[in-house]
Amino acid sequence: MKFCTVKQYFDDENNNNVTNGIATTVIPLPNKHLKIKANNKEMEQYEQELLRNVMPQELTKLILAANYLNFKEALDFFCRTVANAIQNKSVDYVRKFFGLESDFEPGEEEKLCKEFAWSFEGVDED
Amino acid sequence: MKYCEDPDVMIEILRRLPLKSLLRSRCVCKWWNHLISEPLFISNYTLCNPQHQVSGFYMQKFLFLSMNPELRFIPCTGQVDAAPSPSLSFIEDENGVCIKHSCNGLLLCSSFRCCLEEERKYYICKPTTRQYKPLPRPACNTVNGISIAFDPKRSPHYKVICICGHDLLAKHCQIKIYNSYEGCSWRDSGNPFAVLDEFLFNRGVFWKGALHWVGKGKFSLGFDVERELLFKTPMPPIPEGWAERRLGYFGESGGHLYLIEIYGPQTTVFDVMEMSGDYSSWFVKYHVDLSGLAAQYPSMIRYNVQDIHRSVFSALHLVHRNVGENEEEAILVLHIPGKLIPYNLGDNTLIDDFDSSPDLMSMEENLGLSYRWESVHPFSNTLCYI
Repeated sequence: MKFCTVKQYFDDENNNNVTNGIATTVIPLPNKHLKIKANNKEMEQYEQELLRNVMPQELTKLILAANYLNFKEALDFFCRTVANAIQNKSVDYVRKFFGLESDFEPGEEEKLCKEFAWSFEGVDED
Repeated sequence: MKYCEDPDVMIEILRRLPLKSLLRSRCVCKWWNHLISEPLFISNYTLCNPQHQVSGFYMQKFLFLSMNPELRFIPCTGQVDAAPSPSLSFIEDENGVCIKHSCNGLLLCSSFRCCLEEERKYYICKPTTRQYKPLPRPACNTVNGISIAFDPKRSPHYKVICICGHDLLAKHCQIKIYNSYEGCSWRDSGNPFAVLDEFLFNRGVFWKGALHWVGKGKFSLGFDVERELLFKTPMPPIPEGWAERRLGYFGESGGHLYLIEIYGPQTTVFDVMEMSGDYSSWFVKYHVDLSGLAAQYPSMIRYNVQDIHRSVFSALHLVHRNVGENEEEAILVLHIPGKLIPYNLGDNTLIDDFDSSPDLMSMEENLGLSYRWESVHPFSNTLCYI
């Protein structure tokens, strides 16, 4: 059964992977999922709400939680949400989203951008 | 400060991106560039994104007074939308660009209209993502043939094999190899070898880890790319009464090497031969009789003033198509005046549901045949991106 790891979590006091706040979002998900499984539009709305109200770093924590709990549907949902949020966005936007910095040597980044010039067509404005 | 350090989680997000976003993400940081270039990631992404798979062939026609040859792409299996753009104009060369060779999603192109061999540039190109890279010059006066050896299932690196005419020894050739892994220059492979027959060095076929060049005499040549060994394979005997071999097609499909010879301008009957796995001989895999086709398409038969008829057709490409679980059908794309006709070799029928837009299929009927098998370059991207 899906939730055997949840029981383990509650038993395990030194758990750093899942904070309480996250648990309250992840655990009700299957119920919500079952209720609105047939209705894609509601799921989309929930996705939009999530993106609006939850900071990117919280979102990645949600993914880590879902991963730890071995909760495949939640993992898939959150990953898709993040992928949808960053697709078609500029490289800078994506860096900010994940708190990443460019660590390329000077000129290396330009070389890559030139090599993949085709993939820069049709990118959204920031 | 990274919000997520876990590579497994990062991979879960990245693999859900569409192709352009994924490739762009290589520019975000070194870590992402590394994750996205991993061979395992690439092959998983390909498996989960079959919408990028396409297999077909380029038809190249050299036009008088045109800077670039005319290129068309005919998709045979996979997604029509994933077909690469038939224009190579993204390669910047003032002399125009033509295709020399194709192998597993990579094209080898060269400058088209240049007078001296030393002016000619060579490029490796991935037409689906419009990436290209110039190669260093092979440093020889005569290039008899140049081919790519690339098996993405085994390695992300490719080799380019050049058969150069020997500058000093007449009728001798030298093989030079360029390795994308080592990157900077060509090196000689083995000793110069005598070439006394005619081989189609410009029509190399990569099969079972070796490049094969069909010969017009008693044998063909093969070059084991890994071990750098040149070897001979037998050709079928030339039928009695014929002075010369009449090659109709030489290519690879579905893991098999095929040969078609068509003897006689009037014949509508020929065999599709397959090379045995141990290289010992050719055996007849399919027997083709196009007399029924000729009845359906009268343009296939031309009569001259003496009322002697000849059959006007050529075999352009052989491709295997999946039709349900573990079943494949072998299709021979035939060219008759004004049309391309896909022919099912298994049951000798014509195929109606060929996924080609009608305007690609119709060509000038009264101009005879615009293409022969040597004008065709097969293309299939076994991996989404490389």
